[in-house]
Amino acid sequence: MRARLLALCLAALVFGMPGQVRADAVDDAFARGNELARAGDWAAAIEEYEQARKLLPGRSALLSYNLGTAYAHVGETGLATFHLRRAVQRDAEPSDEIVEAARRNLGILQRRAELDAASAGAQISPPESWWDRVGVALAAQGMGWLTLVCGWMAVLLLVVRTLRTRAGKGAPAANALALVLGAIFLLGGSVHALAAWSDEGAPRAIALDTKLEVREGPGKHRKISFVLQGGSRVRVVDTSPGWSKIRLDGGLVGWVPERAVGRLDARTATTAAAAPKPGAE
Amino acid sequence: MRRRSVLIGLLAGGATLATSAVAWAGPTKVEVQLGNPRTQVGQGVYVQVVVTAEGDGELSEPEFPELDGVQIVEQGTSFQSSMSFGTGQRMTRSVNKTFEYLLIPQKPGKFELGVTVSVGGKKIRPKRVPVLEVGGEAAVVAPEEAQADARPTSSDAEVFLWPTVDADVVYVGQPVLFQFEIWERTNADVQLRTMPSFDDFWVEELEAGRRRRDMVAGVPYRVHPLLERVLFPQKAGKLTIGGGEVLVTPHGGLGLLRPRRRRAPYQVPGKPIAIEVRPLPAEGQPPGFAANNVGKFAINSAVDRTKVEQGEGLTLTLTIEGTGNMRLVEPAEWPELSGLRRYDPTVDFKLTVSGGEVGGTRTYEFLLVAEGAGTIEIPPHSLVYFDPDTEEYVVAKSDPIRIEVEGDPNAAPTADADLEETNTEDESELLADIFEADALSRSNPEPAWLTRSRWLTGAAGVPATIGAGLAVRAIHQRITGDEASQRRAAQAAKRREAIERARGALASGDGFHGALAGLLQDVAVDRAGPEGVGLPRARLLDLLRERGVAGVEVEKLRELLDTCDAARFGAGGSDEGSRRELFHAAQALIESSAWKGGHG
Repeated sequence: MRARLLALCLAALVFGMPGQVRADAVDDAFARGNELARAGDWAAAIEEYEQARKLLPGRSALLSYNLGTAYAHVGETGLATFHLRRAVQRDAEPSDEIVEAARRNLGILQRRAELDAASAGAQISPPESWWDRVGVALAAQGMGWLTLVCGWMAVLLLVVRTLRTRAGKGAPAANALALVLGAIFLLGGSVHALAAWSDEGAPRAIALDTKLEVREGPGKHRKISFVLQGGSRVRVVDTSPGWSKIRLDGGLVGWVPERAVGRLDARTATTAAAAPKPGAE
Repeated sequence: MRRRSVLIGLLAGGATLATSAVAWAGPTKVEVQLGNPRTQVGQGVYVQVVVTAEGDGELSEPEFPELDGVQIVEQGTSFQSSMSFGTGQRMTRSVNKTFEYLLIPQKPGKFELGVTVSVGGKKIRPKRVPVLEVGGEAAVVAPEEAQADARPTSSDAEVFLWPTVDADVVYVGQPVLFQFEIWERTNADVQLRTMPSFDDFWVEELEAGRRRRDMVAGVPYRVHPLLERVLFPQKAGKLTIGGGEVLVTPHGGLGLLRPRRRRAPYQVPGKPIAIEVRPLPAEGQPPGFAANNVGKFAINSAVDRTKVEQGEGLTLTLTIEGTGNMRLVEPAEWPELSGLRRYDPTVDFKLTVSGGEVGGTRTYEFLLVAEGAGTIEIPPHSLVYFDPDTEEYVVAKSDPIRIEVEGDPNAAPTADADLEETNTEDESELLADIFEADALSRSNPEPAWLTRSRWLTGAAGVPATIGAGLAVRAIHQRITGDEASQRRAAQAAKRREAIERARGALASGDGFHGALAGLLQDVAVDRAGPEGVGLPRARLLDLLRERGVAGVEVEKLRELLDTCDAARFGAGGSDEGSRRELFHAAQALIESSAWKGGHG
């Protein structure tokens, strides 16, 4: 009995320790990053934050925000934009303060990128318009649930109306409500399907390199079509081994190395890990 | 089976024999054949190195000893191979490879051509080493004083190189147009082997002219323009432009009567020329003057718009036009801009040659961002240059530009600065700070329950359910019928019953007229609709007319009803015949289309 208890304790120690150790390592790396950031050593802070990010099994809005802000301080507009956008994603569960601060920093980065692009003659995605936000909202889960609920409510009301009519009672309110809900279901469902399918077929991504050479085909021997400013919003419309075909909102398309764009729908920000470290040049 | 094994054995033996001959087996010979053992400086001589070997393996290219003063030009390689079977049934492969070179001596002397060839890793030398004897004198070409736009005067040479400049005395930085041509009147191929050298010059390349014909002392020549360059001297003194050289390969004769004689190519050197470059005058030279600002220039500035909002960007274009070194011309330091942030410009330039003058345009495009509000002036931009014609330093200036900036109350206050270096720092200060926490907040989001396929299933369920409901209802109606059809069926049954009752009373007459009158009344009320229930007869008949029943039909109904009333309530009785006639008339009326259907 005693031996069995000992074995159980040992097993708990063996299987339970790595998670705990990893959690501590994440917090330690994050704390070291904060300390270095406070001291103004942003490049070293980024290394610590990246270490924490690699060890973190899930998402953290706080880590993404701090990492993005650190990249912004060293002038890595693309990586900064990518991590700040990840910080405000619902999956990362950001607090209101983080969302507010991240949006502010994203605004500064956008302005900085526009000026860089204008002075270097690089292409850049246009500022996010209300139409982009509508697109995101239409593709969101909430819209999917709304359309489904409306559709099934309309079905329910039709059943009620039939029963009341059979019982010799009118149901004008049920008729009107069923019509409205049916219309929401049909229209909302159609646009939700279009937006969601579009997002899935051409996922959103961010140009990570400060200046990204976009080529006519997948391969370094292909001619450069245009130069894209880091931080630009793009959609990945096709892939080839090691290369991604991207499309800007304006319709410009071209191929870039796969590691040069960070997909916003990724469960973890693995793409950014392959990006060059700041201060490496 | 036995024959098959013998065949395999033979094949294996053949393969063994073949593979045994892979290495160089037989004698290897290297022979050097000189086209002409005596020649002159600059006159080319062909040399052939013939390597003969048996077997197979690696065979290197010949290596010449260091021949100081002889240029070696590869001409090509030829290769021959043959197979033979000796008496011992052994296969022998013979290889004969010939390498051809052109030797162009640069100085007189005797040169031993001790060639080495590596065959199968073994170095082989020729049994006889030929010696090339070169006569004449080494071409020591001293630079000549350049003369502007000079023309050749002697027609002694069949081929010569002719460099020309458009000016022989210039200032540092002043452009000189250089042209390099081959003049020839021989049946030969002329190949440029060495380019002229342009040490101490900044060079801009231009497109060379087209081939033409020209005369020298009455002798016609074909003129091939090879190069055209704009040279900008970078230092004062006598600067030399190297002569370059060409290789002339004469064509052989037609060879109709005797074999065509092959003539070796020869080298023709060009003459170097020297131009005098004067230093820029010290008198009146502004401090920090850019040495390449020599020529004649004008500077202009323009903006893409003069009215902007605070925080908005605009483009300032600065254009320098004129003659001179447009690539290296340097405007004065950019003036301080108040209320505008300036970013590094994009620079473009275009070189033109017009009327023998070299010039063009140089364009700077600045991105400016309006930081202040109100009227902002872009001060003049200036360029200091030296005019070689007037031998004076001149300051060219652009006109000032005024911009109206509409204030934005939401614009963040910014310092009046045009330093890009401070830009990032300023914005870094504006960046929201990092957040600190004792422990990192984590989220481990589960994949969303409402996946695409689930949503699709749920959405498709809505129309499917409605469709299924409608289908069930239709089937139910088909089986049980709806209210209207049930009512119509009940009415029809009721009528059938009344008709049968009247028919049954035809013989006796008991209740016949009452049944018939009730039937006709029901038909009338059905046709008139719910409003007809309980109406007096006259009003009911009027209502029937309003409902679109023809007047004749209404009158028939009235007559039938009156007849029934008269029989029921009057004194006169009726016989069976009149009852039968009345029954048929009523039946005809009921079946008439005018009484089909109801209202409401």
